[in-house]
Amino acid sequence: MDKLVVIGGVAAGTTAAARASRCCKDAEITVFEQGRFVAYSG
Amino acid sequence: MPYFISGVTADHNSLISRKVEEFRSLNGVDVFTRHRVDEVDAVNMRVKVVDLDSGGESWADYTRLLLATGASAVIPPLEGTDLPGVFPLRKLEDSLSIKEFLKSNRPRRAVIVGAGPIGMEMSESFRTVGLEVSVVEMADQVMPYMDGDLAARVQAQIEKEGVNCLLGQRVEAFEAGPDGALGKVITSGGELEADLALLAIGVKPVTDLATAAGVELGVKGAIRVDGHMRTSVPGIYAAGDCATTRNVLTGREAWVPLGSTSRKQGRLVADNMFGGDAEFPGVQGTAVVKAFDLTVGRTGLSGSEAVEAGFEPVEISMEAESLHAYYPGRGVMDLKLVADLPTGRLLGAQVVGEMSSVAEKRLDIFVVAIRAGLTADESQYLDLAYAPPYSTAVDVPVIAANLMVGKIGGKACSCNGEGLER
Repeated sequence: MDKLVVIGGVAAGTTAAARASRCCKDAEITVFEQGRFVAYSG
Repeated sequence: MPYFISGVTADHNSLISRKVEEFRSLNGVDVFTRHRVDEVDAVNMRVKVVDLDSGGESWADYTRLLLATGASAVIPPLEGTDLPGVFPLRKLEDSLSIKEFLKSNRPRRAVIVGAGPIGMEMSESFRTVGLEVSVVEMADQVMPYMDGDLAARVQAQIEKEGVNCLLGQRVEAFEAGPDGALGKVITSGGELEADLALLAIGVKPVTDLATAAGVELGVKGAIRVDGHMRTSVPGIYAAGDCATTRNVLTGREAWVPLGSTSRKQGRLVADNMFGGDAEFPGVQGTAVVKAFDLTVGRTGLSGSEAVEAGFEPVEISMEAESLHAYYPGRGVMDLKLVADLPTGRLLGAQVVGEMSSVAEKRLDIFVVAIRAGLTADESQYLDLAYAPPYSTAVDVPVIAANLMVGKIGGKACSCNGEGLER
C-alpha cells in the first residue's frame, strides 16, 4: 500500500495531501506540522 | 496576516482554508499539528516524529515522502532580537503574538526592519491601528526588487501616509526599556525609540531535515528539485517555499518563495508521486503588493536583470490613466516595460499605480504576454476587453507596446498616456 508522508502543513504540503487523496484514493496520507495551524495563507 | 493584524480580516480562522478535521472527513488525510519530524531515515524509508505536547516519539513509514518544510523568517544575528516586542511575521502564530502584544502593551511607536513587501504591508497595517511607523532599510530605496524610479513613487506615497523611511541604514541592536521590553532600536544612523519592532528582512528555506537525509541543495540553499519536484534522493520530493524552481526567462535555477507557487507545486507533485508525469515549468518572478493606496507589482526581468541574463534590453516608461477622463473613477499608474532589442520579445514589466487604476490587471496581461513569448509588435494588437468603465479604448498594455515598437525602431512615439495620437 502506498504511504505518503508530508512534512509541513501550510501551503504546498496540505495542497499535495488533498490532491493525493483524490488522485490516489487507496494511499494512506499523513501530514505532520509542528505548528498549531495548517493550510493558512500569509 | 497583515490584514488580520490591522483588523481588515476580523478572525484569524478565516485565513485557514481547511481545518484538521476537514482533512480527515473530506480527504481521508490524517493531519497532526504540534508534531515535529526530527529525522528522515531515507534508507529504511521512515521518519521519526515527536509529539510536541506529550513528548512522545514514534516512527512513521513511507513509500513517498514530501518535504514541504517551507521557509522561515531571517532573524538577524543582533543583540535583543529575543526581547518582548520584537517579532518576525511568518507563521500564523506570529500574527497572533503581534495582535496580542498590541492589545496588552499598547505600543505607540513601531520600527519595521526591511522595506520589502512585508515591510510595506505592515507599514499600512501599523498605521491603520494608529502607530507611529519607521521603516529601516539597508538598500537606498524601498521595495528593493523594483527599479529605483518606481520605488521612489512608493516611498513618496508611504511618507505621505506618515511612514518615516530610513534608507541606507543598518539596524545594529534592539535595546530594552525600563520595563524589560523593547525600548530602542539602534541603527547605523542613530537611535529610534520603539515599543514594537518587526523583522521583515527576508526568509530562508528550511532544509535541516533534507540536509541530514543527504538531499542535495541548490541556489540560495533551497532543496534542489527537477521539474517533477523530485529531490536527489529517490522517493523524496520537495515543493513550496523550501524548494528551488527555474526562471522561465533565463532558464536558470531560482528560488522565489510565494504561496501561489507553493499551491501549484503541491498539486503537481501529488500527481507525480503517484505515477504522474507533469513538469513544473518554473516562474517568472511575478509579485504584487499593496502599499496603502498603491499597487506595486512586477513580472519577468528588470533591465539590469536582463543584461545579467545575456539579453540586450530596451526599456520604456510611461504614466497612464486607466480610463478616459469622461468616465468617473480613473486612476493613474506608472508602467515600465522591458523588451529584448534584437528579437522584440517582451522580458519584463513593472507597475506602480493607484488602486483605482487596476494596475495589477495590466501587469497580469504582461505576465501572460511574456510567458507566451510575445514580441512588442504582436502585443500592439492584443484584443483586450474594452468598454468605458474598464479601460481606455487603447488600453495601457497596447500603448506600452506602441511605445516599445517605436523605441525599438528608433522613433519617438506620438501618443499620449490615454493612447491618443498627438
